[in-house]
Amino acid sequence: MSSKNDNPLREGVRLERVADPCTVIIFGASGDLTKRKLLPALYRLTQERLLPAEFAILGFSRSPMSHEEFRGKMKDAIITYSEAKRVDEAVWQSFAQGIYYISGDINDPDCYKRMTELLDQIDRERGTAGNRVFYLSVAPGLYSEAIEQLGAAGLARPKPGSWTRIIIEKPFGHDLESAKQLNTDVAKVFEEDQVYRIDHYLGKETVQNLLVFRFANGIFEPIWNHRYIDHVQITNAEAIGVEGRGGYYETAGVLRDMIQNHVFQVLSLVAMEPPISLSANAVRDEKIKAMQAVRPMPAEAVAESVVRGQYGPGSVGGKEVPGYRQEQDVNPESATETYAALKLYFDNWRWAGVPFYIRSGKRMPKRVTEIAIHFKQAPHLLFRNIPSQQLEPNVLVVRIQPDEGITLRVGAKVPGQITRIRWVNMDFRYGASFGVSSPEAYERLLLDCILGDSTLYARRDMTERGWEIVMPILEAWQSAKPNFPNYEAGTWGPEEADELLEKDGRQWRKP
Amino acid sequence: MNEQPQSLNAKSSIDVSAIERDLTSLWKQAGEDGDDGGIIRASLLNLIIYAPSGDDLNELDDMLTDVTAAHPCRAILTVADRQAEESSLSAEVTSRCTLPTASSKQVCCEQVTITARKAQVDTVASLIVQLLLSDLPVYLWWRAEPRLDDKAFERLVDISTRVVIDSADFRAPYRDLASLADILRDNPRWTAFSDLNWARLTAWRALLAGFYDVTEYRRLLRQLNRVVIEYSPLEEGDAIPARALLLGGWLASRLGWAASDAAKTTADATVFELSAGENRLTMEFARTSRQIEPGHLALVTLGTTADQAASFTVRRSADGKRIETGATLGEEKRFQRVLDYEDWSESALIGKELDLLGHDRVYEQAVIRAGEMIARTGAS
Repeated sequence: MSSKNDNPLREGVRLERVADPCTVIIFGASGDLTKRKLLPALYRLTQERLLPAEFAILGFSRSPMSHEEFRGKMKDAIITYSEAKRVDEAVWQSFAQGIYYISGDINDPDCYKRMTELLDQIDRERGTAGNRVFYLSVAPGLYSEAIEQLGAAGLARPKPGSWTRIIIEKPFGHDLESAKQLNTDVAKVFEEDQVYRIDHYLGKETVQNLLVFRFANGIFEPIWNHRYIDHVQITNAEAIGVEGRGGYYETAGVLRDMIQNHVFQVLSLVAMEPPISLSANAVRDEKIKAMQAVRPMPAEAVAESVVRGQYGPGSVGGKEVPGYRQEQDVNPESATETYAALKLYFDNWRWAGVPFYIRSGKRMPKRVTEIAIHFKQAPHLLFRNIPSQQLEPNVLVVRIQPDEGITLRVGAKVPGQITRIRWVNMDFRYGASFGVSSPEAYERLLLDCILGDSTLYARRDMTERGWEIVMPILEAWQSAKPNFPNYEAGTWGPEEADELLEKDGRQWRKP
Repeated sequence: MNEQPQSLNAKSSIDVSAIERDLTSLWKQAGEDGDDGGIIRASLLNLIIYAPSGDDLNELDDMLTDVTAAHPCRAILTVADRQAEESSLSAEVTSRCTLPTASSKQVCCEQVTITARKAQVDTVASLIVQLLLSDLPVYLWWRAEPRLDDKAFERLVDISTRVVIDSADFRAPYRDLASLADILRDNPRWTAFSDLNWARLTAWRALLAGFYDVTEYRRLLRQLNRVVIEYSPLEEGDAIPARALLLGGWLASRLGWAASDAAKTTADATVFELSAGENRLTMEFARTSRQIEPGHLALVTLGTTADQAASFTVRRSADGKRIETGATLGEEKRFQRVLDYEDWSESALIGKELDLLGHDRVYEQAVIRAGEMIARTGAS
């Protein structure tokens, strides 16, 4: 079969990769994600000529609507949520011709029959060649039913010469058992290489840069191990609270919502071995290999290595904010954690004895996600007469958001007659060196899926491994009632989190 | 982006160590002037700008503010005044600071402005080479016609990693494009060349290429027998504008077409006969009657009448704000599409060029093939 690579007009350094003809079918098309992220991303990809003319979008949800009504809503969404805040009418009309809508019950087989007929019609009208991306942006409880129905309708199997893929939004399961069940349900209908489990964190430019930073620079890899690194801190802090999602958050908590997926993805990129190539499976093989080395945490060790917290009233950014229990749709006696700090070890040669301290929380003093690599002290204390506070170890900080960049803290002599050492930061900031804006995470991830590149998506084994690591913690927490709230909004978490490091002779960074 | 250009009037004689001293002092002062007592100095590259004395320096200054905000660098602006009465050199240093976001520190880079007069224009490269930041790529933005008999050009290209020109500014497109084709053909290992006019063609090329990403149409690519490129005529002269010639050269080089006969020129069009093996085709460059900026493209159609009549068209809309594509197979019209037309500013185009390293062989081959076509027009 010929490919785009056979097109001589595509040669050269300036023409970017362009997707195959296809239809993107969005389940949950009347939902917020479709309006805020998916349609603006697909519109922008079209304007950037990264999607072909033979492209269509089919929205699917329960609300009855005509194609025209759906197009009208999507136009409003693009105007509201896209950067440009405007659309040219003729350009919009051209894009809108490729937008279709179908309403129905996700559990109704007849609905999938109508969907099949409409997709065949779209293939004929738009030349979309039978290629399909199903995007599940519905309540997680509906995933299995939707997938089963797609299988029963024959929509999961691509036609000869075509491809079919499915994108599944987070959360991927509520615990290990439900994640495994969902994976089993998916595997009954789709092959693993058809499945794209989205983790929008992986679409962030700076998360992707971790691979480049570690493996395109020869100077870091030789010292990226237990011989030179004392410990690693990963901080994922949000200044916001639950923002009207109290009902959902009550069933989740920070361990489920952030740590077992997003933070573990970042953790695996820090801890992994170099992959043999940048192919999706080569990278994901190394990520799962690293995560399989995470030392199991028996229930009795949870209290020693994990701290949970929940914010009470306080102030953030100069504004008084309510406590978690005062938020809308939250149980006034809620035991849901809005903060967690963990100490993990990797039982492998590279990381033997190196603790990884991870913390994630809501209503922290500021929004920041960073990885701090704390190096060991210089092996020989040459400067004996220098006060100990002047002799700090080097720290390499990879900042993911905001102000993305890399900082290396090094000691330097203060000019003068006597030897005094000051710690200075050598800064590399994305915003300073690359004054171009990064693409939206959803743009990158959607395009990758249409191009068949799953590197930035979570594989089955990774989703299950994340749950395996956190399950003992969740189970231990269930058996003991926490003393919540235990930190004030606008602070860096409960005191116990500080003690987690203090007992190891360390302290959290103040990002 | 909140821009806060900051100029220090540190003048220097032409002594490199004095310029470096001025730059150090400039950074010290900029650091002290920063609101929170600090700035970030960043350099991704060296950017030499060669501007003939007639250039609008105010406009160039605005462009450099945009360019350096996105690509922090040491900028060396060289103003060449060949008509001056006496040979001389002078220089001054300036910092350029921007505030990427309201909450971040200022990002600053530095500019050395050198004015070279009369004979010193030809030797200015020897001064510039001493001012380059080591280990960083050197981009030369040459704002004049590239001519090998110009010593300043040759010497500056020699010290550069990449040269950026704009063939839209060629005063004599046939002569200057043919000269560029000679340079690229005869010096394949020399410095890499970029052309802003070529960058402006990226959208057109991507859309034309996109037709043939579809497997069903790809076979038609080898059966093409008619190409029409409509352009808006230049303000002066009858020559086909460089942009249209580059597009024709690109198609010819990618598809292995060579000009086989002398071009036929009428009042409204120039037609080239091309061949690829047994296959013969015509490439017609036609003047558009639509009101579009001089030198710009109006329409490109690739057509075949071989097994099945088919044509693929990319067209600027009547108001110039959009770009439309469409395919016709037999009587059937397919996949009409309308997209925003990206009219990139010169500084945005330069910014894109500064992201590139290495030779753009597709461009080089397009220029060489365009040069061969020019030779078929009988123009010298």
